Amino acid sequence: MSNAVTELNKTQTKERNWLKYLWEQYSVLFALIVLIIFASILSEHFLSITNITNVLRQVSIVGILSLGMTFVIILGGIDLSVGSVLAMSGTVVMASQVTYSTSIPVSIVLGLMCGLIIGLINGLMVTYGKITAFIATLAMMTIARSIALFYADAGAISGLNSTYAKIGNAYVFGIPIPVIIFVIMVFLSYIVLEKTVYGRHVYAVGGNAQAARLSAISVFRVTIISYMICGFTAAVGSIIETSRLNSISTSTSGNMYELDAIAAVIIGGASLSGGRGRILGTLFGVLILGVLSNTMNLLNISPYLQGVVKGLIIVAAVLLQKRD
Amino acid sequence: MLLQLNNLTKSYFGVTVLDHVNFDLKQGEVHAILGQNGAGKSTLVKLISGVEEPDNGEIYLDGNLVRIPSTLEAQRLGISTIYQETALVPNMTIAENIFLGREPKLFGLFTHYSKMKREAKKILKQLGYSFHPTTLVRDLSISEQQTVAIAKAISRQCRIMIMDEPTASLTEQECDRLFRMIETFKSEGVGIIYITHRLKEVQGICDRVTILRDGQHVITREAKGFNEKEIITYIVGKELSHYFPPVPIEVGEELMRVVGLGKRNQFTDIDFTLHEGEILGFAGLADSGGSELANALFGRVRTDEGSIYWRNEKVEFRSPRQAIHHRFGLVDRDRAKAGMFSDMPVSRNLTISGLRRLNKWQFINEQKEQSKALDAVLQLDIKMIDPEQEIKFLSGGNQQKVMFGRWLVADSDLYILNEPTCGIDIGAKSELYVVIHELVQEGKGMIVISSDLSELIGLCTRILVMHEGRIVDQILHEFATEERILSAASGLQS
Repeated sequence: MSNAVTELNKTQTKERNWLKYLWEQYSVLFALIVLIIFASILSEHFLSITNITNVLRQVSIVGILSLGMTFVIILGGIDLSVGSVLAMSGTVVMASQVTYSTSIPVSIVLGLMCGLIIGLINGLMVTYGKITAFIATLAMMTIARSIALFYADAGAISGLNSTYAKIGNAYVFGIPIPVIIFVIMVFLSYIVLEKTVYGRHVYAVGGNAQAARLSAISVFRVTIISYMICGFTAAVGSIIETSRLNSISTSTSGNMYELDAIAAVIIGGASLSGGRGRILGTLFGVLILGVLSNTMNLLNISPYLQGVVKGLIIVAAVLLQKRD
Repeated sequence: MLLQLNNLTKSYFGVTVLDHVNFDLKQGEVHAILGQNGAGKSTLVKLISGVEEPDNGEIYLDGNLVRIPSTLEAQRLGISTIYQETALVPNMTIAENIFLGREPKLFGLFTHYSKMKREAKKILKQLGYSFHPTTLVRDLSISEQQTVAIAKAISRQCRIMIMDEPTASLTEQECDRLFRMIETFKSEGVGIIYITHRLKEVQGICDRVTILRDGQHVITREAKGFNEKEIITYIVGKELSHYFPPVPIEVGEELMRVVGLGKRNQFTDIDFTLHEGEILGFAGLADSGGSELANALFGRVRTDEGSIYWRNEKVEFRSPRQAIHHRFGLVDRDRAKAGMFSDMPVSRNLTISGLRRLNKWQFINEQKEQSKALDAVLQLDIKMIDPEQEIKFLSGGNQQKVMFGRWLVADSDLYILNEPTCGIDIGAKSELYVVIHELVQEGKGMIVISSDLSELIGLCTRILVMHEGRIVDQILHEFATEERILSAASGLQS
C-alpha cells in the first residue's frame, strides 16, 4: 500500500509539465530567446556563424568569472576581488614565463594556485575574521591590483613563447578554445553545484546559516571552499585573458569584470541575500549581456550609451524575478 | 472606574482566543492578569493597547464608550504599554528613544535637544536612575533598557500602564527598584495592568488578580489572602488529556547519562538519564534554563562543567555536526530562524542532514534521496502538493513535521525537541504526538522541553522540573499534575 503511494507520487513528480518547469526555473532563458529574435530582426549579421562565435568568445572570460561568483552569491556573500585577482594571476603567469622561464604548464599551475590562495584568504577573512564579504573582498580587490601594478610598474608584461598565445586564439573543430574552456567550466560548475553534497550545502548555508549549522553542515568549510572556487575561476579567466594577447596589462586587465560577473549572476536569477541561483541561469545571464552589447555594436549604437541599457536590463531582471 | 471591559471577544481564523471576557481597573490600582500560555493574556493586552480591535464587546474609559483602533489612539487616551521585548532603537540615545516621534521642537522645525535632554534626565531621576541621557541604548544592559522603556511610558503622562512580564529579565535588586516605581505610580493614581508568570510578585505588589484560562475569564478577586496554591488551581483548571497516545512506560537500555552538567548563568548540576523508548520532559518557566540545556546537549554551546555519556561512552561535542554524527537530532523552538530552508523544496529540507549518510561520496544519488524523502512524507503524513514544493508554502504544522522528518531521514536515535508544538494548531499537535509515540516505540529516546504543561503530562514517561537553572523536582508520569509542576517551577517547596 505504502509502496503504491510512493510510486504514484514519483510518477506525478516526473509527469510535471516540463515547459512550466522551465518557465519557473529559467524564465531568463525566455528573455534570452526574445532578445535573440529581436537581434536577428534588427541586424542581418547577427545570426552568422562568425558573429555568434564572436559573441561566445567575448563572453567567455566574464562568463567563467560569473560561474565562481554564482557559488559565492548563492552562499549569501559577494566577491569584488575577481577582476583584480585576474590581473594578479595573469601577472604571475606571465612573470613566471618571462622572468623565471618556466614552462607553460608550470606557469598555468602557478596562476591557478594564485587564484586559489587569494580565494582561501578571502574565505578566511569572512569566516575567521567575521568581516563582511563586501568589505573583505573590497580590500582584496585593491591589494591584488596593487601587487600586480607594483610588480610591473603599472605596465604590461608580454610573453615570449608564442605557443601560449594559442590557448586564447586557436580553434578546435572551428570552435575557439576559450569557448571550449567556458563550456567545460559551465559543465563542471553545474555538476558541483547541483549534483554534489557540497553544492547542496552551499544553498543551505546561503538560505539559513543557523539552520545549516544545526543540520550537520560545516558552514566554515563550505564558505572557504566557495571563495576558493571563485578565486580559481578568476585565475582560469586570467589564463584566457593573458593568452589572447600573450600579455597582461596590470592597469587595465580585469577592470570592472567583477561588476559584469555580478550583473550576470543577478540577471540569471540569483538573489544577493543568498540561497537562490542556478548555474544555467548564470549562463543565460552572461549570454544576455553578451548578445546585448554585440547587437548594439552591430547597430552602431554609441558604446557610451550601452551602460544605460545594461543597467535597465539588470533592474528589469530583478523586478521580474521578484514574484514572491 | 478608570477602565472597564465588557464581554470582549476576539477570534483568529475561527479560533476563539478571548471569549466574553470582563475586566476592570481602578485608579491607583495594580491589577494582575494570570494564566497559562495561550490563555488569552496577550490578546487582551493587544485589544487594550490598540494593536487589535475586538470582534465584540465594549471598552469604557472613565465611563465613556471608546474605540481604540490604533496604538496612536491608545497613547492619546493615556494608555501606555511596556512590552516584554523593549521596542527601542539601539543606535539612538536614551533621550531620543524616550521622545521618539514626539520630540520637543525648536521654532516648530528643529529638534530641541537641550530641552529633550533636560526632560529625559528629570524622568530618569524620578525613576531613581542617573544615566546620562545621551548614552546610546545599545550600551545599556537589558534591565536598564527596560527602565528606558518605562521612562518612555511615563513621559507620555499615561493614566493606564500595561506591563507585560516586566521582571522577566531583571535581577532581584532591579525588581525591587521596579516595584518601588510601581508604588510611586499608584500613589499618583495611575492604573497598572500587570502580566506575569511569577506568582510571588502577585502578593507583593498587586491589589487584585484576574485569572484567564483558554480565553475565558475564571475569577477576579483581591490579591490579599489569595494564596499561590489556590491561584495555581484556578490557572490550571481541569485536565485535558484525551488526545494523547498512551505514555510509554516500559523502557529499554540506557541511552544517555548526564552528570553534573553546568554552564554559568544558565544551568547548574544537571543530572539525568534517558533510556531507549523513553520520553523525558523538561518543564520550567521562561528563563529556567531548559532551552539552554537543549542547546548544550546538541553541541550548540559549550558547557563549563560536567559530562555527557552516550551509550556509556563519554562524548563532548564542539559543534552540532558532531552531535548529529552520534545520531542526535534537534527540533528548535524557532523553526523559521533555526530550522527551515524556506526557499528549498520539502524534499531537500528533509534530506539535508542525512545527505552524508545517504551518499558515500560527494555525488548525490537523487533517486535514493527522493525515495527517502517520500518515506518520511508518508510516515509523517505531510500535506503538500508535491515534494518539490518549497517549504515556505506549507502550513505551520506541516512545516514542523518536516523538521521532525529531517531526523527521520538522518536516522537519529535521540530527538531533542524544544517546544515542538509551538505555534501550531490542535489538530497538527495531536498528529505530532502520534509521531513522537511511534518513534519512541522504535526505541528512540526523546527529550521534550515545553512550556505547555498538559503536553508534558500527556506525553512524558518522566518530567524533570527546572527552576533557575536547577532540576528541582522529578515526577513520574502517574504522579504528574499541573499543580505539582507549577509549584516546583515557581520555586515553591512541594
